[in-house]
Amino acid sequence: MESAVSSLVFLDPPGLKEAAIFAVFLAIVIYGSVRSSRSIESLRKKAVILSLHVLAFMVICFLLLNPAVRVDSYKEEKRRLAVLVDGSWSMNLPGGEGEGTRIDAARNFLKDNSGFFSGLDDDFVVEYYTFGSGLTPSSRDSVMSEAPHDGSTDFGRLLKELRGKNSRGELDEAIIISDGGRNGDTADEDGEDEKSGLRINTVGALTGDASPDLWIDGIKSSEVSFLRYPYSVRVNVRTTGKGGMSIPVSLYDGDKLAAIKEVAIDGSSKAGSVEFEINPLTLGRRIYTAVVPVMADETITENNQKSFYTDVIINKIRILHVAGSPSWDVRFLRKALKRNPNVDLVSFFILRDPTDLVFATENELSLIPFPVNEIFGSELGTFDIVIFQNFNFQPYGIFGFHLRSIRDYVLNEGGAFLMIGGNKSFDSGNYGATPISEILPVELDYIPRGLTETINDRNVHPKLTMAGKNHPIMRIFPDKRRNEEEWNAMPELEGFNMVHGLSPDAVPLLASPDGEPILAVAKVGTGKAATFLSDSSWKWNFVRGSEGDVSPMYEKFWNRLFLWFVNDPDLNDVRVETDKAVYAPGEKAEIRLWELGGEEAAESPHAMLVRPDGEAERLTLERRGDSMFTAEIEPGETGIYRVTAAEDGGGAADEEPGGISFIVEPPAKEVRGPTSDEGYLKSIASGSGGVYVRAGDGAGRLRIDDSRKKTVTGYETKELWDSPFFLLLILGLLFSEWSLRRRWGLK
Amino acid sequence: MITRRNFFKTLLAGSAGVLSLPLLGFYEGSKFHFAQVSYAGGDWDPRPRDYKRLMSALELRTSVVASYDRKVVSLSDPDLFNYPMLYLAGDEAFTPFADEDRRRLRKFLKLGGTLLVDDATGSESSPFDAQIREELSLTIPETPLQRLSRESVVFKSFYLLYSAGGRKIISPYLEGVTFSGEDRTAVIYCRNDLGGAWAEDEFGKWEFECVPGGESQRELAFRLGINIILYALTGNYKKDQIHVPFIKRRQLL
Repeated sequence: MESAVSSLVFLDPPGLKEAAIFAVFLAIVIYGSVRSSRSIESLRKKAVILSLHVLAFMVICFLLLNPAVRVDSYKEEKRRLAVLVDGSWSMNLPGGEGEGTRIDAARNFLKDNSGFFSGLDDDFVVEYYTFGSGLTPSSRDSVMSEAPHDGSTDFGRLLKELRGKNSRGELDEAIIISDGGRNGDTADEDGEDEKSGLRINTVGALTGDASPDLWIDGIKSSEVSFLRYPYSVRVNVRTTGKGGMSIPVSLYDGDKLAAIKEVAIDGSSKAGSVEFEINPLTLGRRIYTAVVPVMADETITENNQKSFYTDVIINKIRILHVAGSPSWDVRFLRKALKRNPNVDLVSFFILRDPTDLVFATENELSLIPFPVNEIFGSELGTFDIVIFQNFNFQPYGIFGFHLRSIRDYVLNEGGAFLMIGGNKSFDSGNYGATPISEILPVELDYIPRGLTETINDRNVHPKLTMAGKNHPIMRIFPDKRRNEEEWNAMPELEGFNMVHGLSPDAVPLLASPDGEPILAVAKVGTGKAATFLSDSSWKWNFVRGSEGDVSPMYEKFWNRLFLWFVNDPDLNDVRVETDKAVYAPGEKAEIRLWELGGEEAAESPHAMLVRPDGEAERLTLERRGDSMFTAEIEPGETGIYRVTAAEDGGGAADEEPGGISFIVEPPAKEVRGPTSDEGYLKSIASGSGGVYVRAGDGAGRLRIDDSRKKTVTGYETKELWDSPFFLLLILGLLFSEWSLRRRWGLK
Repeated sequence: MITRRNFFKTLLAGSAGVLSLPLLGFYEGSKFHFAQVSYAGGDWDPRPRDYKRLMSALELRTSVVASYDRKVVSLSDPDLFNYPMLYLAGDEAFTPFADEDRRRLRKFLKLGGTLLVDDATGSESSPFDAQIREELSLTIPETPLQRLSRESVVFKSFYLLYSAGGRKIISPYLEGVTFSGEDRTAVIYCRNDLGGAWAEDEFGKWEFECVPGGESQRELAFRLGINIILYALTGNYKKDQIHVPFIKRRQLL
């Protein structure tokens, strides 16, 4: 509806200077008038003359200010109202005493007051938004159906944007429906700004008062850690309930309980922290979870646990190499180890047996004491791999407890143990009755036997077993046929240690033509063990190397065995990665697979997704390049997921396929504490002239101005200086003054 | 007919058999073999019995399992690479190696083999010395023979030594070809007739006098022989950090 309003305006309004000049001229006019009429006795006549002079002067001055009539045209229109619904993740949390979540409370408010909101359409242009880290246009239907997922709530930015819209005339009224939790303010704004003209009503999406909450407030960990290097993790715990008590904090490694510690909650700060020591024992991504118990009456349980991850890498593979006597086998293995830049080697070679006669004093020898207690005690855990090469423990002060340490280091600490053959190894070294026999992949005799019964001096040409043909340790060349040919071409081994077969979990990789094991590996407890039952593998280097080009087989074989020991992902033909380590529920996760098997790995890889509840599904992979495949998933359930990959051709039976785990959990900021603040919502409303109501209270109390807004659509200006009225008025005044002066006898 | 000599010989052999009982079942891969290079022209075997006492000393003094069976190989022998340490001795000029032999020797050394060269002449200048230097310069032209410093691991691989022994002391030091990339001495050359100091006759008496140092000089020759074998078998093991303070302390005493 259009309307118009007229007003008098001056197009040349006087400044200070012009006002001063007018005042001076007015004084002159008054003085002249008084002076010219001094001969008149009557004061009334004098006043009439003075009034005519001043009036005429004022009319002239009025015209000099360029008066005009301005006619403004207006349009009346609906005011603009925004309904803003909190889209941050905390809206998925319980609302309080009620059963539903906060977003349920918000939706019920919109649904229960649908008459009110549909009525708003008559008087307002209503726009729907969701907000969290920013403001996002939405619709009523979207608000009613889409799950809140924003990772933070930035009320400062929200209020700043609303006021910006208001100042541009894009917004007049706002209704904010939220839990009031804020955690990412980037602007210093508050609700107390009534002068801005924007009225904000707030609706608390809470069905009851906030109940006491206990939560893990944060975890200080390292996203990258080194294998077998312990590091500290600090878990911070807070509560809104009572302080001055101790709470148990459990730490899980995957789904296995790793440690429990008590944290003292301070009475005043209501916070406490506890440190755990983590010693990563395997390479790749490890996921841990810290958990605090659920208190009585606690409604928000989503923040009582928090997962974190560390990608375990290896600086250098630290190897302890103990050899019972110098030999070519020792020499060439050491050379291979020294040539590997990724190996940190500590060697102890027994150069003299206790029965040897050196015909020299200790000071004439370069021999050092064998630090048995150090290397098999305090230092043992610092090694990734321990090698016993043709080493008999008995003469060197190595007792049962030392060997038990090695067994426990493999079983419980993820260590790796390799025994290499010779006349002091296996049964020849009387290991059958020691704890070492419990971790070896071969069965030894409990009763010591003579060398003739434990050593077979027959030359053998070892063959790859069925498992060995597919095992990553033995796959020096990607092409299976060539790989097998290369292994068959290796020089004979000069004898081997005889054993009583393989242990139940052992995997034979090389065997004599008669089936006697030569190389066997096994996963033992948390660690790994391997046996090489000959002491002439050096011929694979030196003798094989003499035939044409230098053979890479020897060093590659040993290096691949060491990589297998430390679970190095480089040994897998298929590598799996995710674009992130932590996702919010509903967030897209990209799974990437790289096929590293080379040209010959013709089989396409496949990937399996294992959900937190253990359910597995095969992922559909899309080829993105020669060797890269991708898949996208949208995990909804919170927890730890794992993606595993393998080639369709199948790998070794005992080998875990390459894989990676990732975490799906609520955004950290949105579950730090109760994440609701009714008081803040009240302050926004009261500060802007609005009203706060709880979602369950109804919308009737909201304070909303439903008057129409007038918008200027145009104006017209008409100047008055050329109006005949003013000319006649001036002439009339001057003629009256002239005629009165004449009549009263003045000049 | 049994003579007294045959009786003692049989007794000695029997004793050796009993002593070696523990070695039964020791397969070849465990043992260190004394492998000697034969070559054309000259005398490749001036001390035919030198290895016996050296192997005996190696067995008695160290944990190395030694074979008493000497292996003789030529540079063209297909068996050459079964013996990563070779002993090459001589006391006169010999026929220059064939190009193929030089290539094989070079490969042997580059792959990790060790060659001990022993000048058995016991003289300042000998045709053998000139010839072997020529052969080595043709085989490994890029790395000349150089004097080994006292810091070389060869002098501390088992015994702490400060000079080279032998039947004569022509040179108190050793020379060698050291591959700098690997920090490994592949060729060790001794001018002092080590074999002469090690050699015994069939009755166990020393074949040669050691001059001028006598038996202590012979002991040094054995120690050097053991050190060279231990060096070949363990490489720079004694250079590992853990050994350094011990060795330095003892060297200062």
